[in-house]
Amino acid sequence: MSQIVQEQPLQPRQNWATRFGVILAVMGSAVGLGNFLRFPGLAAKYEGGAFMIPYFTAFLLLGLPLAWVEWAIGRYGGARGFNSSPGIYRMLTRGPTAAFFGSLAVLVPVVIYMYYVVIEAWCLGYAWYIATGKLSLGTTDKTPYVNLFRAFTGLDENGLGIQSQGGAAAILVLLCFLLNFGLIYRGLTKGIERFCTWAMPALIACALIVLVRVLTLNTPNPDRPELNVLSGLGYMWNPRTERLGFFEALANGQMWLEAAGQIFFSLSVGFGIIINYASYVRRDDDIVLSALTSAAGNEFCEVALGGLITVPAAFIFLGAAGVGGSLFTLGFITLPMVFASMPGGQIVGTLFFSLLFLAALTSSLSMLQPAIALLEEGPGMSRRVAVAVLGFITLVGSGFVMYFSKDLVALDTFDFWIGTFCIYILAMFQVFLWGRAFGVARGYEEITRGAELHLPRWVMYVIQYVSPTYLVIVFVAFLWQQLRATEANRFTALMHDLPTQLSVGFILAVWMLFGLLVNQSFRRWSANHRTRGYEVAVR
Amino acid sequence: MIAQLQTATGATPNFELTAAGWVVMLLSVGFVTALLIWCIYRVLRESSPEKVHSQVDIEPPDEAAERQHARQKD
Repeated sequence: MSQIVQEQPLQPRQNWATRFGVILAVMGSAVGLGNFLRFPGLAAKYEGGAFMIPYFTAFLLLGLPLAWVEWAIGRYGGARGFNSSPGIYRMLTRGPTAAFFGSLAVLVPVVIYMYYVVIEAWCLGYAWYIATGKLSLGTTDKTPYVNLFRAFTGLDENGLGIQSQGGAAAILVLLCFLLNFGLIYRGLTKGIERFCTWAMPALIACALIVLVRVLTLNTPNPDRPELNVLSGLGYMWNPRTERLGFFEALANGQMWLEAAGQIFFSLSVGFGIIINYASYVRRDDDIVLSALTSAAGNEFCEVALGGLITVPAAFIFLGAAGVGGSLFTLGFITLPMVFASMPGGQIVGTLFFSLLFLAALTSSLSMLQPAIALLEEGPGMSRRVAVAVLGFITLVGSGFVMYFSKDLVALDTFDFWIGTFCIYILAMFQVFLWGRAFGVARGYEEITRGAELHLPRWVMYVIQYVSPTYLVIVFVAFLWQQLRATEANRFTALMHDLPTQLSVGFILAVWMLFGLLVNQSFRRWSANHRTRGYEVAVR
Repeated sequence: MIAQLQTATGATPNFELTAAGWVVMLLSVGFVTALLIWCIYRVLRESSPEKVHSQVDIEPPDEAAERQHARQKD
């Protein structure tokens, strides 16, 4: 009897139950904390009006084309029985190198999950604190809010992150783990899809309620009439030309770099998630429209909701001096202070942190599925075993992040090397792989198969030439900026700082583990190939 | 209470929403909102009953046939 029969049977093919299901799942993966905290902060920093030009340019030339590429690669692989990125890459190139490199597409979401779930737990904790009135720490002084954040996250000393608030933070992380893995265990349609189908509308509903509250604040302090809703919106959206002219502001290279980065991370391209999700759509599904709808939903949450809520609310109560700082400062110090000052702030604040929690949960959920797909498809684990194995790996990782909590060094290191550096590498690899495997003509045929929405043919030239060039320029500029940084230089830290070295060592250990799993997977992938007898795309 | 907070953060120059600010905000918010609405309209229009998947639809028929064919060959 042939080897194919001796191999364990292939997993039955899974599909999304509805088209809206996959769109909401991809949208949920993309909509996260960055939509409500990072984007508004950046837009305000670069004076609103001018920032939107590089932002939408990057959306049209970088984000959307890369999203189409990932959807198409995923659907192509899924139709041939592959759901994991390493399996799909191997099929596209017929070689093991791409599969080993593709283990990055599993490593990236898994390592991001390790620290993202900790932030998710902070959001849940803050929602609870605001709901129970524990975050009403006064309105005149930032210090109690800063102290609470330091205590909650264990920022002062390694090891405090696990014990903080009498272990409450650790319990919240465990709760988030149970939620994530419970949903993942239920499977693609009953878990991820069903959850996103109600979570995304609930998130948007929460955001709309908060938005209405912010836009109806008028002038909360009659003694300071200049701090009102219109000036809050003005601070966010006015193209300010006092210091620089509009076109001079546009010439700011740093702004173009940050706008491209925001689009890139916001749409979750280069994470390995879209490829995995798209591998469960049917071979004739209209991915042109599905990708566009998911991206549009993400942009709506970012520009129309995030852009009208966060910075205007902070400005109305704190003025220009109170707005700014990092994502964490804005989210966990400034906004709680704003909600403490806002009429009805307890309800609005609870809703806001609940929506952040939902946004984080729909994103973290998506980070697990690529690894589950590899564990099921490669070594042939059952879903129960795959969930247990991944649960153990990520629990160790999150424990590592919580232990090395001093100045959030592990979180920061993971975020830089995996959440930024590796994402660029992976996105560049994917777009070059696409160009090599498909080219312009076959690529157009592949993307538009089953599409009722007409995609202009010139888009393929953008995908083939403009997007990769754009991506390389942004990556080189990013590297150059990092190498020249005098403060918080990651390369210097890697040479001299022990927690940073341990964090990078941890990442490499997890990567090796996934590499071994990929190695174990070749036999089953080969069997899959022979069984199905598909022609691969490589030219 | 609010007055105290604002005094603590210092005087703020006037940032009243200008005509250019209105244009940027309405174009940005309008573009993404219109794009999302149009996309949802197109998805709803395209989602004919034949295109809605169900749990029963585990494997496309052509793949099932191919797999059966391969088994017969073995």
